[in-house]
Amino acid sequence: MSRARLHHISLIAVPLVFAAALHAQAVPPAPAAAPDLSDPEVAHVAVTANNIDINAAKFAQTRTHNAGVKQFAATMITDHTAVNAQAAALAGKLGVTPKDNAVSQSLQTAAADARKKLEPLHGAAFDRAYMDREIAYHQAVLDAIDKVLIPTTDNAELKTLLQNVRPAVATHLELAKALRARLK
Amino acid sequence: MIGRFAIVLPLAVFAAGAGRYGPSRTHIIEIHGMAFHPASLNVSVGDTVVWINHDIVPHTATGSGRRKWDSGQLQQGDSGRYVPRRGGRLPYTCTLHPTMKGLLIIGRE
Repeated sequence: MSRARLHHISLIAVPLVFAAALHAQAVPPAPAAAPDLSDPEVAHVAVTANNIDINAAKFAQTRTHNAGVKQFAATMITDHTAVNAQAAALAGKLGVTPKDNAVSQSLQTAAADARKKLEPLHGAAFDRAYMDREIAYHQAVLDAIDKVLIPTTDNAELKTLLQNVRPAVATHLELAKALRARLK
Repeated sequence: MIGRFAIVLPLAVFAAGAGRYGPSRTHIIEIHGMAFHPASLNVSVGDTVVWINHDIVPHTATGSGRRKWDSGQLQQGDSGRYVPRRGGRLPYTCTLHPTMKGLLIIGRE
């Protein structure tokens, strides 16, 4: 598979579902045209997506008083940091240096908007809103992995990485739903 | 890649030193796909149980019953071990991902 095809798949699916999740909306259909980003820019999008969830978790740790939410946030930091390290290793192997780009910036803007919605919340209201966001985020990522990325990726290393990440995302979603159900 | 680790053991590795109840064995539990493989394992007192993490994300193997045993965080490729000294059932979990559960059934010989 060519690099160009990898770009096309990733850039149609990943940023949109992440952005949709950050806005807690339904995942939109893929558009007819996708931005044409370079390898370094694609790598930056992947790292950004992980960093967004890490930063959300760090904020949650400063805000929540719920032991379960604190533990969940700690796991998000640990796991997404590990995934980022793996993605960085693959990028390094492929000779790619992440480069900032419009898609990454749009993800960061959406994350900032989501943060603004969380900022005024405290106590149980914060916990519910944070966990709702985490459910939407991980569901969107899981959908992207299952419906777009794994089925359409031919690159063996990328497919393996996606397949290895997939169970962790599914577990995060399961944990988030279980925790949200316990929140009052 | 990970699927190849699915054929799990126990590896009947006989240690040179015999334990109280006979030759001790080493059992391997593989962690992949956010699960312990096998999830339930019969071992004997004095055997060595080794958990190996193949997942990208870290895990623990932590006693969740009365016996408090903790492997600590196992990064990808790390292993942790435990040698049961008493018989019984030892449920354990991953503290980072509590949906992951396992069970050691520890016989006296």
